[in-house]
Amino acid sequence: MSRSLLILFLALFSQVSFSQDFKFGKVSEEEVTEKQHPLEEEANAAILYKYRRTYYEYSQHIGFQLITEVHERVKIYNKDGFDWATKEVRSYIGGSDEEDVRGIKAYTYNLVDGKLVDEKLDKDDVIEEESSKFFKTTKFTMPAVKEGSVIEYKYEIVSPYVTSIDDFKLQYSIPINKLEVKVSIPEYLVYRKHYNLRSPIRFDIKEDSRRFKRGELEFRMNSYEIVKENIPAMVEEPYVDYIDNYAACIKWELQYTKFPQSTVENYSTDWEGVTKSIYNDIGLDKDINQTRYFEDDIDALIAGVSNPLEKAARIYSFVKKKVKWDEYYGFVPDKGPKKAYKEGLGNTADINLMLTAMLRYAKLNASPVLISTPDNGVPLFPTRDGFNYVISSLELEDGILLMDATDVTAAIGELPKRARNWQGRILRENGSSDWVPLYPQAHSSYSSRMNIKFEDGQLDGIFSKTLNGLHAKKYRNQHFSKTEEEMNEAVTERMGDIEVEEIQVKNMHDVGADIGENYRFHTNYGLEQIGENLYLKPFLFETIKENPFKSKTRTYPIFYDFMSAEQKQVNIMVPEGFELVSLPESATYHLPENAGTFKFTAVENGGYLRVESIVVWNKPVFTAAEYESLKLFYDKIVEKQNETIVFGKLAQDDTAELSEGDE
Amino acid sequence: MLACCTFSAFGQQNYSVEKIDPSLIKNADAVIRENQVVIEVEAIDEVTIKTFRVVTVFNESGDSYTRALEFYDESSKINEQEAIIYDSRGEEVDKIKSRDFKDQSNFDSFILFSDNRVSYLNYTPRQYPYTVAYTSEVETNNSVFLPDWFPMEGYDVSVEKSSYRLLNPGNIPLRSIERNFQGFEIANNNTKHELEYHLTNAPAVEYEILSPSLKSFVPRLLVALDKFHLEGVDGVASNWEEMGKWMYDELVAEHDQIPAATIQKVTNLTSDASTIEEKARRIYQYVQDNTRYIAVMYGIGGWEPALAADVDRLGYGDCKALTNYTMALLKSQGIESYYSVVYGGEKRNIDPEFTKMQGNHVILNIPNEKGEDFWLECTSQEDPFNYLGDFTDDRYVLRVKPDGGELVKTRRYSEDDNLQKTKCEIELDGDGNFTASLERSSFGVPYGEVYRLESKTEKDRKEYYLDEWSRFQNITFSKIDFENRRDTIEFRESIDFSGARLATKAGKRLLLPLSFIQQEQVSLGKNEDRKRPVKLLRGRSYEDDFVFMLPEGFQIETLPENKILLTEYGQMSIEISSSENDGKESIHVKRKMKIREGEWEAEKYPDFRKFIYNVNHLNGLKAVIVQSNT
Repeated sequence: MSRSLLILFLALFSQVSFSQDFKFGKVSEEEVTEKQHPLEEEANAAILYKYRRTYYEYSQHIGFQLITEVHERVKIYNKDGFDWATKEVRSYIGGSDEEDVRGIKAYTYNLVDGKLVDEKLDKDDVIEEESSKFFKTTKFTMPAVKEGSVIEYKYEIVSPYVTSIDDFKLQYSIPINKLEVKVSIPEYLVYRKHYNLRSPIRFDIKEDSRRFKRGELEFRMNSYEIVKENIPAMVEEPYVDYIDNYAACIKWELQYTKFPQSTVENYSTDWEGVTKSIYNDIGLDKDINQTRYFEDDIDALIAGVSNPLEKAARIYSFVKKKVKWDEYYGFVPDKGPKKAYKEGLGNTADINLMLTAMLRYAKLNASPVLISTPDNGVPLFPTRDGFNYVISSLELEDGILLMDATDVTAAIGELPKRARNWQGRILRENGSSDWVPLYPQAHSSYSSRMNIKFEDGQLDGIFSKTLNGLHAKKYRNQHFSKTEEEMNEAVTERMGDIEVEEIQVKNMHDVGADIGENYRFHTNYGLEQIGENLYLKPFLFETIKENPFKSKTRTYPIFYDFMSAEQKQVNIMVPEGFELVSLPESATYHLPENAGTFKFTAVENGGYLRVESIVVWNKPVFTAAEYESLKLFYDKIVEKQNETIVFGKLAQDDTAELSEGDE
Repeated sequence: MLACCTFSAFGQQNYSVEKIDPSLIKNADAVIRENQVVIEVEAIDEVTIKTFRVVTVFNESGDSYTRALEFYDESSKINEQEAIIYDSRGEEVDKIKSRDFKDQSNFDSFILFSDNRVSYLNYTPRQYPYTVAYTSEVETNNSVFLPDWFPMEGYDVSVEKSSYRLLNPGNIPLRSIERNFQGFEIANNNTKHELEYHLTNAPAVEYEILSPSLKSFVPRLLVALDKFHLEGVDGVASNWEEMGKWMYDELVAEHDQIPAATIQKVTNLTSDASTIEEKARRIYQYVQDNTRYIAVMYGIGGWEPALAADVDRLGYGDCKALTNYTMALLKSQGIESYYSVVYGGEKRNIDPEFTKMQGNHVILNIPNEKGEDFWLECTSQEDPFNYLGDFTDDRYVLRVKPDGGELVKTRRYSEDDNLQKTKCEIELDGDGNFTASLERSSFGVPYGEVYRLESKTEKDRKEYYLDEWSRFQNITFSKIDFENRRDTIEFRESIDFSGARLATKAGKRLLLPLSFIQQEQVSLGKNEDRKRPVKLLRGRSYEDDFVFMLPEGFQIETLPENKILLTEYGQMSIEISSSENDGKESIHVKRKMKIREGEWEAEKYPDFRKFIYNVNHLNGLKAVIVQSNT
């Protein structure tokens, strides 16, 4: 809050410092001599001016074309800003018609011997490259770039795809000093604009509508204009789901078209409509009703099973074994479930629609669920692009079970990280659709126990841990394909200097069951003998040593992934010849609104000590406002787990030695 | 003709996994069942490479060994590519025709443009193990890069059979050299002008930490023609002198025209400099101020520098272009310097014993009659004059001179050169929290690891230290200052910061770790069957001086004893003393450490591990301080 106020405040001041001329070519000496950005002194470069105008051009032969003019002036402050001297423009070439980038003009401005000198980009230094079947990249890098240079370029993109206006990015990793966006659209196309409301930056938009004549055509032209100054750079932070979810942008949603002599064509709808249109397009009916190819296998698989959950579990693990995921996303089948079944390979839609079909064939209430992966972001309005992936679900009396058979380590009801984002849209057999939450509703648990005794100045111990839910899944993701020998090596390596033996890992391939890991260990890690005393950090290698939250401030929400309960227990036998001198104090800490608890216990009981740390996280996502308390909470965990137990040598040892001396 | 026959003979094989000898499955992510490469040199600008390669893959890490891919560009083309996939029983499950191979441009993002493309098999295995049989034929004009034979291609891959044949119907003079063949089943059937080698049954090699590079101990055959062709240019060379001469004449010479205005500028810039070194320093600075690194490589542009005049106009270029430009500017002031080809990155020589186009980078050599030569890294805008760092230090490079090439070694940084000196005062409070004032100087290779902090933003600097010193809790910085002495190549950091719980609580006692700033800790796993030597690429030394001021009301209870560790791998000493001033106690720690450069036989591994363990132990020493009972 205070930061944005400050920026606003400063903005008023910087305004008056010097007035700039943003006509192409009118770069001033002041712009080139400026040493650092007036508002964000850390910026390596800044966009002094960004102009983007999108409009429709009509010609008798071609009809409408969508033209986008771009003009940018960029200041390079230092060497780390040199990347901004290379520009890449992507254009679509995958369809029947191609987009074209034309009219590139570019100059670099430097101060040479006190005089402003420009250097033109040579046409021969513009490079075009087919980056894939669908896109062409037009690239150029500016000549004579030095620290301080100002570069300026303009170009046009001509697109035959008139029904789609690209997203307008309004914020970058460097600040924008002045932004001008203009869009004019003939009345035949009706768009709605959407801002990203997760970005704190707001834009005023000026709208206008006037009559227009182009050849024989006469129509109303609707135009929109944004002028905005001082847009701050995006901040980079860890534990963010997808940074673009927080960048300022406008997206244009085509609602309908009504061209002369043709009927209204509707494009936009609500989520219900989006869901339906996807349903129809991908021929879900066809894919789900086609059962012949698997009937015999499924009949055999579930013969005699009546429990619906058991049936579902069998089918789910059968699909996981039968068909491997080719690592392609999508809600549209690639080869079709039938072929995928035969070949043993398919994309997300092939696999999860097949799963849905089989579950339904087994008389279970199964439905596909459309979702958006984290790198597809969270959509701003109902659009098909808002989804890019499909999973399957089973509705039971007491709730809904989600399944993604593309992930071999996911138990029934668990989703891989790529499928845990925002919410999903279930498409029921009766044609209705609804939202379903994708984040797990239950805690995943991690619990470990160590029994330690002292042996010749070292520690001998037995360690065991049990993981369930997503903790177990994480473990499987790392080790699933390892042989027993490789697993032993992995544990040995992880333990470094600590000697381990009798390593046992349980249930690795029994997905859904708890993972168990046990071993004996031998070490002096965490133990110090200084003078007559022994000092022990009881959690040894299970100690959390660092607070992952180091930064003082936070801008975006913190994604903690899943709700979790983490219990670590250590049982210690007081070493022979020693007595307990001090034990860390027991304590309990809470996050506000019961979002988390940390309970630390240390007790002595007849020569035995029990030290325990229980951390419970009750929600997967924290807001930026909660950052401070989250950081403090974590700090307490680190503090308490690192406190030391002191044992002192028993006095009677000395007496024993003395009496020996007497003899 | 011959080559075709060779392949068809193998077409009928059964690639069932059961047929693999168990000794080859151990530790293997993949087994190369057979790899036949037949190279036919029709003429120096007409080479055909035929590959028949069968690989069984056991797990995901082995996928890349299928290596069913070819690179191509303007001067080479792929005539044929096909792959057949077999399941573990050796049954064919899929056949991929050449049109179904995936095609994309092949270069890293830092290269702006290159015409090099790759066509590869894009296959997702349904289950492991599986086997890919791959056939290809590629034609190229560039005989200068005749493929070598490197049958054991990496770690964790076994070889059942691998063969290499070079057909040379035109009897073009040929050279080859065998490396590390001993101890492997390798047969040959060479004639004067043709080569044929077979390797059989080589079990997988496991990676071992701190071991010499794979190339230095597995078989390799290096092959070169005395007459060759590169992107439209013919060449003749059978030794480095001739190779250098050819490179100079065909690729480097006459690229050094510079506009008169620039020469004038450089002349003015250097007019009052009295020595060659001083002039060169100023010219290097001029290049650093006026250019940046951008790679554009296509056609011969991948091998020949861009014209100095173009670099002058555009202000950018790749390593070749920027080196040539600097050389041209030096020449304009009568200073002689040489374009030098090197392998950048981990230490790797241009092979002194085998002449063949090598290297992946270019630097500039300025001869110095009064001492060691000067070396310039022309792609960096920030490196000091005559600084190579660990990117190109201590290795053979090909110095390209008008009268021929020669191999010379770049400078080596010794353990004493690679020094970091730290001085730090630390004030503690009763909760174990601290305020520290630190000064550190870095020289040699460590200089290169830190000096770029100077150009970083405040935020990035803080992030660097937060990460570097992540064992400290809740750090707050009150001062971060740098002094980059580029002329003497020394980087000084002065940092004032505070943090929480340096000393951990144990009742009324505090445990105080005495190595305030620690070097990165290595932990070495147990390996009772170490096979290869322990190799340390560079020596290093550290000299640290820490003074801890105890909080009011605390006294020293226990101080660890002084320790010295002397071994052949390095040494370490720690001296701990205490003093009292105005009723306040302080602890003074002097720590010195040296790690040697060198190679020790495999049997020494446990001993070396013990050394590292002892170093870690000394780094973990703690003092106990206790609150006085008042």
